[in-house]
Amino acid sequence: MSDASEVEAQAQRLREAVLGLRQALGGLIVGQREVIEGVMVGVLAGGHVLLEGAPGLGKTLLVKALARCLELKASRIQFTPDLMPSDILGTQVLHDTPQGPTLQFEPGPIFAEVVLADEINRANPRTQSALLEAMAEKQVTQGQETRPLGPPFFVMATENPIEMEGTYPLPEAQADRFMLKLEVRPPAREELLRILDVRPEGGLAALRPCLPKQALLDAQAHVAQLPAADAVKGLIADLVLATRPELAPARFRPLLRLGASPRGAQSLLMAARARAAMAGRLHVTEEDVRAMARPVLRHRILLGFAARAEGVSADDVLDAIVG
Amino acid sequence: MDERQQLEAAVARVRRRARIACGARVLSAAAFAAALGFALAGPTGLAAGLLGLVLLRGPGLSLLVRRLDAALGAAGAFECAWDHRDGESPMLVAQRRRALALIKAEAARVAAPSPHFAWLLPPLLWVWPALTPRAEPPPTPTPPPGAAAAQPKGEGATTDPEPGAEPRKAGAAAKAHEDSPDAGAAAEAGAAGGGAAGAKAKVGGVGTTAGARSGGGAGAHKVVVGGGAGSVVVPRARPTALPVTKPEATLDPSDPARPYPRRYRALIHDWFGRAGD
Repeated sequence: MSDASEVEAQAQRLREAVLGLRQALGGLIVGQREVIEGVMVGVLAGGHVLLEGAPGLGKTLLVKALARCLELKASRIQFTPDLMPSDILGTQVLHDTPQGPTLQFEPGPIFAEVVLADEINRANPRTQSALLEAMAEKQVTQGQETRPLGPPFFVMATENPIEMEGTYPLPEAQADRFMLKLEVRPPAREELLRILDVRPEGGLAALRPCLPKQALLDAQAHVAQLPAADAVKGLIADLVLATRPELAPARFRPLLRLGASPRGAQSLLMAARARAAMAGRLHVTEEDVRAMARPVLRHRILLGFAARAEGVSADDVLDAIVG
Repeated sequence: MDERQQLEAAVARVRRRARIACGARVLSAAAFAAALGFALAGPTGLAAGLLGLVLLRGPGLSLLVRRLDAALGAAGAFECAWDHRDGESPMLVAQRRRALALIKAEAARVAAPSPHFAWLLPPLLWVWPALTPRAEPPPTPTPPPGAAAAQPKGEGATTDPEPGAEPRKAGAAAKAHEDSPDAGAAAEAGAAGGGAAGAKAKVGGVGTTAGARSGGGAGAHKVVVGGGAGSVVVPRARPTALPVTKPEATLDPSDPARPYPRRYRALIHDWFGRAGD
């Protein structure tokens, strides 16, 4: 961006791209407006997104549709209980060459620009932790070599609620690496009737890329530079601090085990920037922060057993904090 | 004027208004506290006026900027531009330009409104006495020559104003002539056989005796009705006779227990055995 006029032009292009993307996804996914908006925020902010919901709600379809619209190299990892870390990251394979047998690295499905990690909580924690470095640092270290991922690089993961059988809870360290956690809820009756008229496979094939790779990178750079007022940053700090057990509302203090981290505060600011950019603004507002607080912080708050016994969820805590 | 200077000029306008408004409130609070303190505790109470200077402070700069942002309807754009006014990146310049495009002249009045007119009242407490004209006491009527002899001794308070008494305005002055409410004196005059003239004679007005005010006994107070041939000397009939030489112009504020005209003082003195005035 060379000058202010280019910034305005970029903002306009971003708005048009967002409109096109929203229209494309909305044509295939019935309802779920908040989930679609959250996924777009994650894409523009350069963060990973975790979709949680019961089976059959269209989580995988949404991620596949997004990958088609973004014109990015996509891969899919179906997490199963017997999945190994090397199945994700890649492994050394022995090859016969004229010079003799040599080990060559075969990259795993993680080496893509959009990674669909389907039902991520079905794999054991050891396998899940293989994503830690990739998600946090966007690189993979195998032996003596470190190989970069992207840009861009997203992990769009789906998971079933922990109450389902055959699932494992995500390690806290891995959960903290997702920028957003979006809850996919069952559709209402009107939406269900419209779903009956949608042909998912046909609709997926009909999708055309609406945001080229370079345009996406420019949009991400534009979002990253959006300024926020001191009061807005103060609000972010206050919200994150309020998730700590010692600073939370009195009613929730005995129920909390761990609050959000500084990474959570950075994620909240980036998500708010993306939301502001999608609205065509060049500054972040307090409303942006409050709107993104729940998707960004709900999976970073660790509740104790007392909270589960009382039926208190992270969203209940955030409702009291955010208002 | 570059963009940063425009931002600072907009904020300076609001800040100037806020300071003036705060100064007015501080002076008003100080005047009120001083008036209240002075009334309650004399000169020591003036120190209370200093409380207004200490307690009342104007809004801070960040709050003023936020108010101006709200007055502009900028949804945080002006506040963000103000916080980043030193930055020169293309993004910050573009954002600043958007904020400047929202500036309106009337926003300063909304962000720093003038004080409510009620803040003017305390200073008026100090200024009002100087502005309002003092009311002159009503002129003291000259007693008739005959009435001077009938004046009881020690009575001198007839025309003297009571200590602490405030004169009434001329327009509200008591009647110079007063029809006699003393039916007793008239009845006595009639009973004394004064004839029709005597019966109709009234004790009252200037020129007739005012000797009915008795400090103790009725004594030798006499009333001369009429004059010359046919005049009738009527002894003072009752201690309740009311003097009429001086119209009651004012109440006696020196004694809150006596909210009655001066002419009733003699009566009450008799009843309660008060000694002197």
